[in-house]
Amino acid sequence: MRSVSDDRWEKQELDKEFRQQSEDLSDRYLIFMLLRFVAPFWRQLIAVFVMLLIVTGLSLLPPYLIQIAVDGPITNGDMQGLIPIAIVYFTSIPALFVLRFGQIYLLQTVGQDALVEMRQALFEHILKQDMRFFNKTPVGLIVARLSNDIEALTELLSTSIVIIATNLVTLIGIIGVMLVLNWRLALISLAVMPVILLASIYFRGKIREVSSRMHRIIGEYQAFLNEQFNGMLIVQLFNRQMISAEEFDDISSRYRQSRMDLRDSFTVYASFLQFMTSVGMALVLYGGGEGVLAGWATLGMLLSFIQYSQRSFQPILQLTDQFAQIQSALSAGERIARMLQVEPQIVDPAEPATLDTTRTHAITLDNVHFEYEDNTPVLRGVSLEILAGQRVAIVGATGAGKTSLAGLLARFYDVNEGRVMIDGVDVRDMTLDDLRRCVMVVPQSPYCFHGTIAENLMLFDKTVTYERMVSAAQVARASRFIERLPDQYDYQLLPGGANLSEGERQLLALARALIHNPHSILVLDEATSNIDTETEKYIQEGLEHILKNRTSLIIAHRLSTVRDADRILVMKAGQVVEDGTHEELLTLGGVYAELYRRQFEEVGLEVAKVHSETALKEHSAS
Amino acid sequence: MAVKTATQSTPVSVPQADMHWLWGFVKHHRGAAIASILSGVLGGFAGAGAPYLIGIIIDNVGEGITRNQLLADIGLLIFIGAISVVAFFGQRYFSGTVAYSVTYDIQIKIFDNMLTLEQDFYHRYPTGDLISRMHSDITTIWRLLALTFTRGGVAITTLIVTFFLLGMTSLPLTILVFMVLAISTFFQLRAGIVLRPVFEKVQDQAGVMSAFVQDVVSGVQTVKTSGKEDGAATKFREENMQYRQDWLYFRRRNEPIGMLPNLISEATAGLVVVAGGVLALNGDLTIGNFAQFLIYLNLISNALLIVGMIYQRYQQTLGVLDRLTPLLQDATIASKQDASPLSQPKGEITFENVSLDLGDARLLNNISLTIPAGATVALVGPTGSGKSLLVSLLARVYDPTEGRILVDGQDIRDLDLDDLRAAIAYVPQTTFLFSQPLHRNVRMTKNTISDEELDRAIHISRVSNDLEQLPHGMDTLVGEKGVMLSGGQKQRVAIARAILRNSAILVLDDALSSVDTHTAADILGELRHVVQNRTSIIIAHRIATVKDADYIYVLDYGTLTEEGTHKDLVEKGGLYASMVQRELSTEIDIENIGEVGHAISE
Repeated sequence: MRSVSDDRWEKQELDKEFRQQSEDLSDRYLIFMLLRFVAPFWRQLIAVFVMLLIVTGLSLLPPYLIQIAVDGPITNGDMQGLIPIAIVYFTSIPALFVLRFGQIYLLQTVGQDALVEMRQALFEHILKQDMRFFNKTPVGLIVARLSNDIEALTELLSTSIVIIATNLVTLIGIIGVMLVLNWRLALISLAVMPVILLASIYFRGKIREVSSRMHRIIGEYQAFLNEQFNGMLIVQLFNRQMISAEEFDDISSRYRQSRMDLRDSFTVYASFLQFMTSVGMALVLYGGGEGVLAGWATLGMLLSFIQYSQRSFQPILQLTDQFAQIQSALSAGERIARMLQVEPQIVDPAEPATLDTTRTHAITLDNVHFEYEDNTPVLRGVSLEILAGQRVAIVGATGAGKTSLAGLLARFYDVNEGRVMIDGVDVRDMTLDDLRRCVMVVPQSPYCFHGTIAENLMLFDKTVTYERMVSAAQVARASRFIERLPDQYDYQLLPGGANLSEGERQLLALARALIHNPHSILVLDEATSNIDTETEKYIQEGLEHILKNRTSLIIAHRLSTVRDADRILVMKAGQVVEDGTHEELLTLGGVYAELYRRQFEEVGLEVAKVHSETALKEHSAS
Repeated sequence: MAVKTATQSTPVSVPQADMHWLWGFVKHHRGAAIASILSGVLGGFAGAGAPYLIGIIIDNVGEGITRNQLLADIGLLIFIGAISVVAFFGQRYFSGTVAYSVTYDIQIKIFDNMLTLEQDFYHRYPTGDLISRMHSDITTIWRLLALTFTRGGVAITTLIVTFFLLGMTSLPLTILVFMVLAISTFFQLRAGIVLRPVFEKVQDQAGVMSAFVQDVVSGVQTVKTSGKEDGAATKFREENMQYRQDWLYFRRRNEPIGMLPNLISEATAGLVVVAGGVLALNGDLTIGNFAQFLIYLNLISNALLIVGMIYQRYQQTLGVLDRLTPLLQDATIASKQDASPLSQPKGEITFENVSLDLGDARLLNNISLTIPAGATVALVGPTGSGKSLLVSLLARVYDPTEGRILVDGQDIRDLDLDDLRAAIAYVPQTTFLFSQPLHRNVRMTKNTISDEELDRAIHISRVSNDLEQLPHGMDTLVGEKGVMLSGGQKQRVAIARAILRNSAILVLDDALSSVDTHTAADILGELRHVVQNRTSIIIAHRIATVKDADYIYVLDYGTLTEEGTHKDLVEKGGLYASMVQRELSTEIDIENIGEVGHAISE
């Protein structure tokens, strides 16, 4: 179905992404990042470590006790001699249990606390990013970072660390004990260790690589699902199901393949280790057997060595089991670290200028150039002076740069050249908080959050009173439709605000703007385009009231919305081509007059004809 | 009297995703499943055999054997070790195949079904929650399968074989060992049942958190312009802490259960030494037997641990399957089995007494209208009057609560759904673009579309005006990952998409609202040729857009209040006339009329 060039094109994009991702982040940086979140809990961690040492020590006791029992009382037939050994043995077991549980309890608590902070930090870090970041980063990918990747770290921080540490300490302990008990037998038992170590180093890189490929695919998988679920209506209306199914199949297959590849590397590695433990056991038996026969080892010693060497393989095998988990946690950590490293390009200045956010603002644009993508300029040298309290309308063809102008004013983006100033202060010299308090943009397709109407109006802000909310809704004329809804302000919105019409969502957004930015410059970016003329008339009344002491920019296509502005700007191909009042621009006879004439022609041709005929008669009569 | 619908009498069938359902997927990979279990059995035998041999070797050494005999015994041990490894490899390899293939099949199965589900479904589940179900819940199933097929066979075999091997050495001691170890298994099994709701709570909270992130990030611009990042972060912290609490609550109950087998096996080892010591003193047990028991203890307790873990994951999977069940429901809006094809639609549309309830609100009330094939009609009315809903019924985005809709004289619920939708080119209010090159966003399904057709659609919709602004023209990546298009640009892409469909019916739902009047007029002019042989329904607020329609319907509060031609309606002096009046009075500045009149007449 797909054409070859499409696939190639897509592959190139993926390759590019892959290269970016595979630029190695050093393990040191990674560990440093993990430490940052774990460090506040150092006291608990020390307690965990102490417990771990005790646990490991205690757990090395049983085989030794058994050795004493077998070589002493049992061989000698001295039943009395067994009693003290048994007492030590049986008290150590519950003690072990309690300590182990305590250790896990503490560590899991610490782990969760650290993860809560990490998740929070990541979430807040993402919220801090500028709009360019959100334009380029699929939502599903962000969800994946905050869910799967953190989850992968959960296992590492709450379970794997205990297992790894316990096993490492146990391994060292066992090696020590064995060396003390019988160094010759110990060396024989440990003969396979270097081989295991080498194999682990070899497989580590391989598994990590496959694992990070797999996680990248998981991110893609979630981003794809997010897009499809959001666009399902279009998928179905345009019978695109086949293509969607194929695309999903492609991603799922690659997902499965990456997991299979991971399995392949891991299975070979684990099988090899398994075999090494068999060889190790054979060596102990052979060496021990020789030793007993030659008289440099006892039977009880052989018995305890068999247990010890089994216990020394166990940590290795368990570490192997953790291996894939650790690698996937590390690669998840790497992605989190990378995202935490992304610094927003739009940040507060080092020495912010102070700004009175309660006054009416003036706006100045000074030779502003702007582009989203290299070499495709959107604004080419816009210079403007908007006085405080002025109501300015912007008209122009789609793609003329109207929305970009609003985006620059709210500093969603920074200019490539020139300056945007509010009250004479460059927006780049203000704190973002101040700036956002003095500029509010109401977009054309306002987003509705999951929750009630009231929650959408209050927008996570608990300080907003009910009265303030209702009065804003009344001013924006949203109260009319809200009061008709079953639960009024407690009406539960469906995801995406699907149970409201587009126009109703726009009214809601207007009300929201009034609640949160009472004094700001108001930018209405086609904010009333889906509202019928009757409702718009109501809003106009409301707006009269709202805009009285504000500076406002109104981007609109309907000339009825534009006409009453103090000033009208006409944009074309990234430049302001006309600037003046409605009357002035009509007289000018340029783009605006042409626009107006066309709408006029369409709407009221007949009426206009009648009027113009009368006008002409009057004209000729006079 | 309203006609009761046929589809509503058939109940919504919900195939339960249960173990039987899961088993159906496993059966498809029975080759690998059997291979992994057989490898497990082999591994069980080899694993249980090795300690037995070790016991014999120790006894032989105790009795003083020759070096050659010792070497022969050790050779045998390594051979058994090699068999273990082969078995181990088989278990992991084949179980991987089963687990990954089954999860893949499940993903495909669910997604394919979700492609058929109606909007109503997507309105009930937040996207983030659906993603969480499609990923983290399916991963839980994978965990069950992977564990069962990797370790299940070997665990059961080990238990059986050790029981017999140990029983031959000392039956009373064996029974003692098994009984004591069974205690921990009992606890595990109980915990599986008791902790299941607790585990589900953790999964649910994970879904809530994903949904919240998805929601906030999707509306990030609103959050930012209102400066409410802090509020969002506070809310996130609440969910975050709740998750921590649920997770810890689960783990603190789950962990001791997991540690129990180890504890009990160590206690049992002590018992074995004491009891075995007594037996050994009596000469019933050799030192080699001792070694066997001690090694077997480990094996048995590990095997029991695995059995317990499988059971726990089984319980977790039951919960997860319940969460997946809604995603598998049959679409309520789908082709009937004996659906008639709509091969050459003419595009005659009839609404008969159509009413629609969503939730408890009646949004459309008893609407009847007929649109002859090839006609152009307009729908106007205030915001929220039900215009968009009315046209969405035509494409069966919803089915009417009462009444019926006919296309070419056939109830649309009797038509093949794909055919019906293929007959409609629909431009919804909000445009959705996929993260793909622009040309693929316009083409959508048909790749057979010729470049000429594509060029024509792009020209009519005036997408062509923007191409030079885009870095790679029609190859520019748009959508979530790509270049941002303005609202008007997106709308024009949607129009191009619809034009290319070449369908009998064209629906424009306020599709030019973000396009400037100038371009909109150009597009409308061109569209007149396009719609010549098509039935078209245009929803708009501007009188200019609708006044040339053959017929105009006015909706108010979900009821059809007026209908007729522009002229009829203006003369009638109702809602429409007042709309025209208002627009005229605002659009045309009476004071300037003379001036503009000049301009026109000149």
